[in-house]
Amino acid sequence: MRILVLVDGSKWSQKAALHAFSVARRKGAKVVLFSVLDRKEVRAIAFHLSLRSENLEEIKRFEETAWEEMKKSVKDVITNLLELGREEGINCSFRIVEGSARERILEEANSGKYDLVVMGAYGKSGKTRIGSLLEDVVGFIEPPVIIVR
Amino acid sequence: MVNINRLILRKFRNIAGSRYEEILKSYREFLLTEEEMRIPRVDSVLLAIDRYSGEVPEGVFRLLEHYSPQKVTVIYVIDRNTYRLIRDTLGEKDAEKFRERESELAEKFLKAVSSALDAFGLNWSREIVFAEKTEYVEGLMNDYDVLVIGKQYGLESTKTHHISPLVFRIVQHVTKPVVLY
Repeated sequence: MRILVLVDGSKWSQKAALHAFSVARRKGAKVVLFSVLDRKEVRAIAFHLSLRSENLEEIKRFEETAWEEMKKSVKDVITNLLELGREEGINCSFRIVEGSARERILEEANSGKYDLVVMGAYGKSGKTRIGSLLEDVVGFIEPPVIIVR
Repeated sequence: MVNINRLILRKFRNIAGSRYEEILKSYREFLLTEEEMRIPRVDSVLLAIDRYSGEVPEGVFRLLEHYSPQKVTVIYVIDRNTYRLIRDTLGEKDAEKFRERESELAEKFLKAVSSALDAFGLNWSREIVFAEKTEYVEGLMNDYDVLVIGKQYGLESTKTHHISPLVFRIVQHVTKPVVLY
């Protein structure tokens, strides 16, 4: 069995990874930790700040720093999870891509390589209504999906 | 069981260090606590199906095999609201006819699911229930560790909506992990 875990860095996605590990440990499934980095997230913040700033160059530098930090933060989370998974004897690997989260997730989840997708019920904003996530992403994922709380 | 403490400690080892407690106080909703990160063992699974659920894919049975639960309960839910609607508009006889046909369909679906569960060596029990489709499942989930449910449970899909509104509601209300197929 091959399990795809969607990791956005949030605690919910980390919990999803642990759930996947607990499934994988029993019968030796392979776990792939998958993360999508969307630069639009930091660009949107930078744009709003630019409206209030006289120094556009400073905002651009901020955007670049925020983007690098975003990448580093997700890599840290993935590295921690990988170490933990490997210590537990789980066959796990990772994949970090850039682009639109919805598109890249659907592309990967529906690639035919996975028997199961595991994801957290909420994202980086913490506990919110999960309706849009269900409608926009889960509804289009072909393999069975576990939503972890 | 995965050692949760190690994940929490490792995550902050080189980042927050001694400031962990302080950060936890201010931003608790974004951080992992030991309690939140505990992954409970899956001992019981509820598999809810109805006429719209469609075939349960093999991947779901393989997942259940991985969980190795002590019990899997399969329920086929006959919609009490639809029965009432038919009874109030077309009469008792038609309502009973609906119930009979649903029961026949339930037997057919449950037989297929039971055979698959047997093939994967899982202990199961089955039941045909006459109930309100969302509230009944939500109520039962107090006694189960994981819910397995089809995306179309309760309603046929449309071109624009791939998950039925009943499943939307169930996923939002149930506090346990949900497997959607």
